[in-house]
Amino acid sequence: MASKTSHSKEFLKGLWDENPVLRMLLGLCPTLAVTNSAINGFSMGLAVIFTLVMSSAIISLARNIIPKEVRIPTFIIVIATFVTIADKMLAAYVPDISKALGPFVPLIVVNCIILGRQEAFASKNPVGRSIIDALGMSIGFTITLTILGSIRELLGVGTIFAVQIMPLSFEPWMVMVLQPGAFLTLGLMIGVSNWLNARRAK
Amino acid sequence: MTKSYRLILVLTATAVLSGLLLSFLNLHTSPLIEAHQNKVLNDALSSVLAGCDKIEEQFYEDKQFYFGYDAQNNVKGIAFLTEGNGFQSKLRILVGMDAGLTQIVKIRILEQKETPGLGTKIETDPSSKTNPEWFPNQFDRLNVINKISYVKNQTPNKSAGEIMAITGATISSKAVIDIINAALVENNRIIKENTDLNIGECPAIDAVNETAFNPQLVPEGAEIVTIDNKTYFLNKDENGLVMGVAFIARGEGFQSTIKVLACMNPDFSRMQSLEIIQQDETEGWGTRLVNDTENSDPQWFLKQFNNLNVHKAISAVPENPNRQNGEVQSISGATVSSEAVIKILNASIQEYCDTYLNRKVN
Repeated sequence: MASKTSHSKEFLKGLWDENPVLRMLLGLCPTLAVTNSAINGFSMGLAVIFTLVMSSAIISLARNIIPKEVRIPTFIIVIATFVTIADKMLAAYVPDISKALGPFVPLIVVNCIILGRQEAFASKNPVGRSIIDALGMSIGFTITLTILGSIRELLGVGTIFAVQIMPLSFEPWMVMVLQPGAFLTLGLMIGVSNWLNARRAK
Repeated sequence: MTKSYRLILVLTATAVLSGLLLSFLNLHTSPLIEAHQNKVLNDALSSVLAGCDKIEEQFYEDKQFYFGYDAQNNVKGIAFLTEGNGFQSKLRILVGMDAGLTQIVKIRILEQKETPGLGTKIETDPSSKTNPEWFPNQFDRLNVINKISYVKNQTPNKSAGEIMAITGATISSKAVIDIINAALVENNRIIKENTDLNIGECPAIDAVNETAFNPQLVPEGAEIVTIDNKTYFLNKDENGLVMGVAFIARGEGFQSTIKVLACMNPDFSRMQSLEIIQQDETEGWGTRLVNDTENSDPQWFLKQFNNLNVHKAISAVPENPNRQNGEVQSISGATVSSEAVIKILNASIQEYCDTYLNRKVN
């Protein structure tokens, strides 16, 4: 089922029009939980990029072999394999980030974005297109999480990527690095993106 | 090939391939992960057992201990890992103690996932530019003869085992203290039963309670115990925890025998209050010990002893006493009487403290 959309459009849709977090509201659990700092959001995004691109490539390659009756368990095994690889690699090479992300890397397995892309796209499209789609989606996810993490870190601690931005006299809004800050910031970001879309539609 | 065979084949093949891939990965990464964990532990060990030439691992009752030795092969410090629940995560803490298990040398928080920005301050506090590790550093050279306890909004008394809780993360702070307190009791027993090391009395005999001790209660409310021919009055709360220890001491004043009732914290780190129950000093001068009619507060001299820090000997100064150093202001015109009271206290606190803290606990 080759669509007529160009490769660049396929890539760009994940960044904005079908942004997994802001437009489709998928994968909200890690989005809310790990974005208490920019680096955590960014690292989570990187792990998702790896998992989504690798899973999409494999599923797309095997799309004609996998019977549709067992497609979901097969997808889950493939995804879980790559998540485990990502988790072990992080623990082996960047233990500090692995420690900060805690249980959220293993939980990528149940991140709806990944299974959703396999079901909706990779299992029906050729490899090249699936990889581009996966890259677009996961980079859109990464950018969103990094921005969300940056806003929360800036207001909650006064830094972005641990670089002091706010004047030292700034009293950090502690709530921003706590759970309510995640909901507030995400809600406002979704609101802004809806507002921008509404303006564009006019 | 029938449909169902194909289903089985595809799923089995996927699972087998995945298993193969992961086991190869594990061969490669598990040594790295283990090496990293060892490095973290070794770094932490050399920090909590600083100055030891050799560190050896020992198991007693399935618990792991690390013994630090000096160049002469004497045990210089003992470290152990302990863990428990914090506010929202498991805390793993490495505690380094002196060889007598009476003082914490240093602690390291090895693992915690507490509330970012609040509970995480038990490990590092980025808002403190000068000393981000102020909370764990409070445990350096902390006395644990008594249970460790925490205070808020006041300077903690280190010799009494007090540390300052983190504002906004009291539960995390308390969790660290509770985990260490529990481990101290348990490990003290294990070390005592399994080694020949000469270690101190079991810590955490009584909880320190800062509630002021009311000396009026001594005769009726207090429990009277005699240890080595010394009489103590123990003021207990409704749970049976000792909140204050009082004793009577006497000595010579300027012209008469002075008898005092001194009330101490259970760890003898501070006085709670002082009463003079007998004196016959010079009327109008020495009697100002108990009743200074020239001062708006006739009992100002005695009140100086309330909550006085006595980790050093008490001393008298003519003015501006530093109470953290155990200084009190003497009465001008009755210096000899003032100093007599202090002399009686210094001698008796030492004597009663040693007997009380070294007592056998049933």
